Formats: sequence, structure tokens, C-alpha cells
Amino acid sequence: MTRPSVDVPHLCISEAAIVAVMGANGSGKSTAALCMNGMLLPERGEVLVDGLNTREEVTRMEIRKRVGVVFQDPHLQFTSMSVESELAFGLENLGVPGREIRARIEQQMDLFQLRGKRDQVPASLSGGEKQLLAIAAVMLLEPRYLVLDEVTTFLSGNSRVQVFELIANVPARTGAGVILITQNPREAFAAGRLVVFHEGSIAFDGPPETVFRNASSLVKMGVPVPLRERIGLA
Amino acid sequence: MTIELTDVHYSYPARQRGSSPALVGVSLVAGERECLGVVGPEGGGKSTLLSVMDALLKPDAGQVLRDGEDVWEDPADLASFRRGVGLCFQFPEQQFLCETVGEELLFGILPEDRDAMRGNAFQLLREFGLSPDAFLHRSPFSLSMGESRRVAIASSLIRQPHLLLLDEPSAGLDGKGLQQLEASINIAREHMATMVIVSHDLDFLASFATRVIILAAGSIRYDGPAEDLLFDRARLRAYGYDVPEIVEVIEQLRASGSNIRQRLCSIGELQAAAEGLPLAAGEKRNSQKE
Repeated sequence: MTRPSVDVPHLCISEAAIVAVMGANGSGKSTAALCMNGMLLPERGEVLVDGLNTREEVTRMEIRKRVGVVFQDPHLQFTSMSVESELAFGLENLGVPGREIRARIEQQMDLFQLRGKRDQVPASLSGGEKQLLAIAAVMLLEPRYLVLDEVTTFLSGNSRVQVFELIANVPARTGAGVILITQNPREAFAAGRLVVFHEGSIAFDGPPETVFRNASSLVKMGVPVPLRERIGLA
Repeated sequence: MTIELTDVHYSYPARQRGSSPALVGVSLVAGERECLGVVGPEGGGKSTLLSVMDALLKPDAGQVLRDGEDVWEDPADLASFRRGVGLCFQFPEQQFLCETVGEELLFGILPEDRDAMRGNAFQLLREFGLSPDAFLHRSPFSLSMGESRRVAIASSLIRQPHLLLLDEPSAGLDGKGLQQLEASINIAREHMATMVIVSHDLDFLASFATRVIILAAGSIRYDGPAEDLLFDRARLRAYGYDVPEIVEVIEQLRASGSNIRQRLCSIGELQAAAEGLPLAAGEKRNSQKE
């Protein structure tokens, strides 16, 4: 897949906060996300996770443990033959004791309403259920940074509310930082900070209500803008 | 085309999707020039409903009627029925089969008609904001989510279907992509008799749906005019949906003294209503014309 290029002089994301990232399709949001856990290495410049450089092979595994990514398209990240084993997969790799794995999986299946799907093959789930499973599996590993790349697109109203509540509580509950890539202005408002990508660079960075005041530039950049701002009612 | 489902039941084979049935006694009519919106929880049967309407899945019981005739009655007619239906899946890359976008667009066209249709393919790509020079020879698997969605929809429109079924068409699209999609759906609606759109995006449905159904656990829980449901805060809340943004804005305008009517309308009408509001002292208007 041809990925858009990014040129970001400096972007710092701290723990225990939610940062929303918006931008047109192809503006470099997902490329930046893949750089954050070392899946892509920058041609120039550095990506540091708690001071660890993604360029250094010895630290890459540690970086991937710290930065959990949920992709736009959940098909890409399933490896197991049942919902239950998909949830267990990451914890087993981390060497978590079996009894603890089972307890944590049970809890996660309740939180994400996946209990009835325990034995199903992930590929057979509906679009929204796949997204729920992908988010549940990554959140179970409690990464220090959670990168969510347009993960609520196929979720129904109720699931979106529930998943959003879980995501919003992450900073307070685990102290992790959340990077929420989204095309939905309402989701951006849930974050204290909104970063807008345009053609690989950062065009805006600030509180969502301040950033959305630039409605006409954002519309030109292909960024969805709340209706109120579009008609000048905000 | 009028498509009608009468008491349709469907269950997937148990090892594929567990034991619960996907559709339970679904009856509905999508009439000529109607745009039916379908919402509801995941796993509720929405995508299955589209596959049944496209006759990709045969109901275990009940009927699928096209203009009053059972589409399954004569298996020899199934292929021609399906050619008249455009279906776009939730994950567009699942429906790509060809090496280039150009071939993909013409895939559903009979080989003898392809040369004649090439011009339409170019035109459609342009309407969707994808320049033919840049895209015709690209692999559909190299496209971004938004681009592949537009190519998938364009490839179903090229056959000028009588019935267009869209599964979450707005998901993953940016502001421009959304505008292009909306424009394309408007073009399609001029030609097309009937459309069914599955979407959780009520802002998107508010622009098109004439009627909305809520499908949960395989059965229909609500079926009524879009305007009734989209203004019904309590009923939407029960399914975790907020009212669409346009409804919130209309309510805000009315609360600020506008006499805008409580019904779905265009952005132009909203803008006019917003401009008609009295300005508070020292306030500057920052409205942006679209």
C-alpha cells in the first residue's frame, strides 16, 4: 500500500491525556500512527517513546509493548480461531499466568459485550463486533500509549457510547495516553487537544473548540467540521 | 423497483456465526424512489438484510419480492435480478477482484459492453473526485480507505442498478470524501428507483433517508418516516444514538428565536436561519458560505 508521507518537525504526546487527530484521507494520520510504535521507521528524524528510539532494534519490542495500536481495518490484526483465544493471545505472549489471563478475559468480554461470541471465529463477526474485539484485545494489554485509528466507524450507537466511555476513562484508570484518530468532530470534542494533519504536516494543534473556529480552512483541507461551526452558529 | 420482504427468516450455518438466527420474521417494503435507512446494534442483522435483498443469501423462510414477484421462484432469473442490484460492502477491499481500478469498475459489465462503458467509467471517477489519469491503472488494493470506498460505490453505480444497497458508505470518509459521496448519491437518486443504506451515521442518513428502520437481534423494532425517528430523542437514546447534528442545530436556532420549522432541511436553509438571528452586541458573524 502506498502510504502518504509525513513531515512533522515536532509533536509531543504525554501520558494520561487524550489527543484527537483529524485530517483528510491520505493526510498522513495513519502513517504517523505506524511510526509511533516502530512499525514504520522515519527516513529522517526520530520517534521517541518514553525516551526509547524506535530506530534501535533492541528497544523495538519494548516500544511495541508500550504503544498499542488498533487499526482502521480490524481484519488485519486477528490471528486466532476464536474470540476467546484472540483475547488471550497477547497476554500469553507477555507470559501472564493462565489463571490471571482467564479472569481478565472474562472481565473484558463483559465490558465489550462479547461473551455470547466466545467460540466464534473472529472473521465471522459483524463489522462492529470485529472492531469491539480489536479494541478489547489491545486494551487488555494495558499499553502506556493507546493509538486508535478510526476504530468506531462501524460501531452502533450503544457500542460507541460504551467504547467511548472506556476510552475516555483510560487516562484516569491506567495513566495511559490515548491518540484518537477520527473523522468524527463529536469524538474530537472528547479530547482536550486536537491535532489536524494536512498533507503530511501539522496544520492545527490546540483545544478542539479553538481549532474548529478555523472552519473554512478546515473544510478546504477536507476535515469534517461540526455543522454549528459550518453555518457560523458556534 | 419495489423490493419487499415478507416474514423473512435466515440463520447462518452454526459453525459460521454461532447458533442465533440473523433475521427473524423481517417484513418490509422499500418502494419506488424511496431511500430506506437501516440502523441498529452490531450483529443485529443489518448486513445480512442487504445480502438477502441482493439475493446473495436465500431466506430459510419467507419471500423476497421484486415488483411483486418472488426472486427465488425461477433460479434462471437470479443472475439478471442481481445485475440490477448494486451492493457495496462494509469493507470495500472485500469486493475487489481485479488488478486495476479501471478493470474493477468494468468488472460487472458484460464483456461485449465494456468498450461502450469505458467513457462512463471515466466520468464516474471524475464525479467521485478521483482523476482517471491517477487512478485507472492503480491497484484497488493500494487505495486508502476513503478512496477504495468511492471506487466500490462507483463500480456498483456503473451498471445503473435499479436498487442500490450501501453498507456503511460514509464510514472512514473525510469531509471532502463525504461531500463527494453525497453528491454522487444525489446523482444516483435521480436515476435510481430505490436505495437502502445501512449506517450508524445519523447525520449522513438525515441527508437522504425517507424512511428508517431499526433492526435489532434480527427483527424490526421500528419502521417509520425518517423525520419522525430522527427528531425522537428518547427513542434514539434507547439505542445509544444522539439526534443528528442538524436536529440539534434546528433546536438551537428555534431556542434563539428563529422560526425555522422542525423538519429536516438543507444546510443553505440552516445558514439562512442562522443569518436571520439577531446579533448580540459586539458579536461578529463568522459564517462561511458553502
